[in-house]
Amino acid sequence: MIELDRISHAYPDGGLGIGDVSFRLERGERAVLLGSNGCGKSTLLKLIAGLLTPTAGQLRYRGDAITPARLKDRAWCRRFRGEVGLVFQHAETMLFNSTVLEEIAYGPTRLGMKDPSRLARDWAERLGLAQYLDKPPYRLSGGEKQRLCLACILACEPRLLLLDEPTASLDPRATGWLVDFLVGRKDLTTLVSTQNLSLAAELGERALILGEDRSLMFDGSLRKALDDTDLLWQANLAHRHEHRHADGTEHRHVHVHRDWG
Amino acid sequence: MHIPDGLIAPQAYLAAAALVVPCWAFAVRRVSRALDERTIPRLAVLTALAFVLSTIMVPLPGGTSAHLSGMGLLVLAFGLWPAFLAFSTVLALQALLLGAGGITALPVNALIMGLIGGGVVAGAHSLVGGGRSAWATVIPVWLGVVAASLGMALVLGLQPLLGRDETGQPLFFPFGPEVTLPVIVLPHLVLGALEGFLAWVVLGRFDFCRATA
Amino acid sequence: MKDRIVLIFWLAAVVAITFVHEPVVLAALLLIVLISIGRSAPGIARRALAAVALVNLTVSIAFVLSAWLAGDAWLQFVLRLNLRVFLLALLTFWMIRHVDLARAAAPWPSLQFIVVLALGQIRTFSALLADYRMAFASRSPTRPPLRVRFDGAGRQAAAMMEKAESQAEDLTQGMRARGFFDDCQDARDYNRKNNREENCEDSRKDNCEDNREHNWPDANDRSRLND
Repeated sequence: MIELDRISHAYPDGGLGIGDVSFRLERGERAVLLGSNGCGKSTLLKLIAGLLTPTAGQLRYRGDAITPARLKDRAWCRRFRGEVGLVFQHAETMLFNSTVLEEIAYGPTRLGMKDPSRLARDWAERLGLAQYLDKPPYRLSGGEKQRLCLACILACEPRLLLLDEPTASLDPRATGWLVDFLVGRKDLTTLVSTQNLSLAAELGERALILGEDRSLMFDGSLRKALDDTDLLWQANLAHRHEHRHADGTEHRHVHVHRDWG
Repeated sequence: MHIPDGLIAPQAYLAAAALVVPCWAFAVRRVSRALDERTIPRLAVLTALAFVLSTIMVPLPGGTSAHLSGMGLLVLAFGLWPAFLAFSTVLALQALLLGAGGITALPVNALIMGLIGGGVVAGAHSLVGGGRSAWATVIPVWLGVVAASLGMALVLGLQPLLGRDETGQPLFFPFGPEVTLPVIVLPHLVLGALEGFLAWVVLGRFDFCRATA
Repeated sequence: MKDRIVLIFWLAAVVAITFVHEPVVLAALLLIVLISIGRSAPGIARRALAAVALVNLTVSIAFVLSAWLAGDAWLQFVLRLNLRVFLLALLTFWMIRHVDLARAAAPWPSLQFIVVLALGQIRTFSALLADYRMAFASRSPTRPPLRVRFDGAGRQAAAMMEKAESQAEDLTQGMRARGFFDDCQDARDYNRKNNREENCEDSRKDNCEDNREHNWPDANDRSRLND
């Protein structure tokens, strides 16, 4: 479905966004993008969503190269935007309609889907936003905005779902809903970026780990990655600390807290 | 300047509206042409920035403080036309959301502070050769603030001429330019310097692309 | 629609009242408005008074002094100024309660988006500014000197400017990701040109030009649209 071939991205000031990343995501695959802060996870997701242009390499979506020229083709771009949904890490950047109902209905309306208002109400109901339908999005709390963003993208029924730290502002109940939803949708291809290792295990079978040098340092089984403490340590996803055991011994070792959230 | 409704005569604010509306239309066209799809989010953020900047209290000697207008800073940072549109939107939001400043004063404020003041800043900046040096920032902003205060003082000072009742008492703002000029312009000679200096401090602290429009 | 009507009536009332100069008429209008507002009149009146009191007092006192020194009349003016300014402020605060600006701007979608986005961003910036101020205060055990406070104000403004730049870029990406910049207008234009019904669904039908251009295997899959 999506293919990255030696993708690099550098920022205008010369700083490296990501360097020489290659992988393929097949239809129905569920992958988790792991990496420490600032390693390029958000940049990679934005590249896949066609929002940034790689400075080297090629990106393909269902065989079509994603290039600035292709994105100028309005018809192609509209279909692409309908099929590839990116939920941003910072929810407020995605919200621009005057009520929650309009916000969720925006995508389906734009895509010509049947009865966008009913769709919007359904998704609001599923994500616990039904009581806010007439409210302006900017009045919602951080967690509510995050759920609203999810509803906006899911209402468009994307084929490829890109989620950037989706549970950062979500409460446990909403997190549980999201995990169940993603697990239940076998037809959906997902790439979820997270630093939450315990959640990662629920969100996919495949791990893509970006190192601090912003290159892809691991592409393989998520289970294998989570069991490899050296790998996690190198990727700055695990830490060492003074560790006290019940028997009173103290030492330092690489420690993976699976309950971060 | 937050002038409430009822102080400016209809002849003045309607004339100002007739002048400023085509300017807004022109500004929209200029900004849209220069910024294409980024226009809407950029203008929205600029408006919000201008709104919040105007709440920043600049401390003054003596324990008092003044509000930034931010117009000079916005013009130097983003260009005259985006700054003018953002500033006008701020005036509208202040009037329609907070009741701060009258809606009838809006065209007057937009014209004088936004367009004339902003235009003086932009013109002076380009006359001194552009750039971010102290001279190239402080002086244009100072000139813009003083020009705007002069314009405002003249508009307010004109009000007694625009109508008096049968007893000779003014219908609107009652003081002529002999009062408004010193009362309004003199403090702005100082405030303008402060705004100019603050603009220099702010612009020197970060690097960004200026949207030229 | 209701918001636009209220806004238009309010604007017309404001303009009309600036043509009224008789204190008695202004007083009568003020009474009518206060009665019409109903139970919330005291609250709205308080807000209106707070908004105009300083200016009105300053101008009134200055005028009374100058008129008294010159031996001129002043009562008519003072009554007219205060009644009119207060009446207009009252109407404005009453309007603010009843008008949703974003809905009022609905006929002009670009303006509406700017208003909605700006209101959201104002909250973000205001929260950031409040945090900066609190942080500055928490790190200043004693009142800092003027130079430091001035510099602090400059840093707050610079932080706002940096945030504005990155917010603008993020917002643009967020809106672009949701297709805001390539919306149905294109489909409408295409359909209008070809005498079709103005319906975005047309763009997904078999004979639509869009579908012929691409080789995706399920280019004509409409199951998602029509169940």
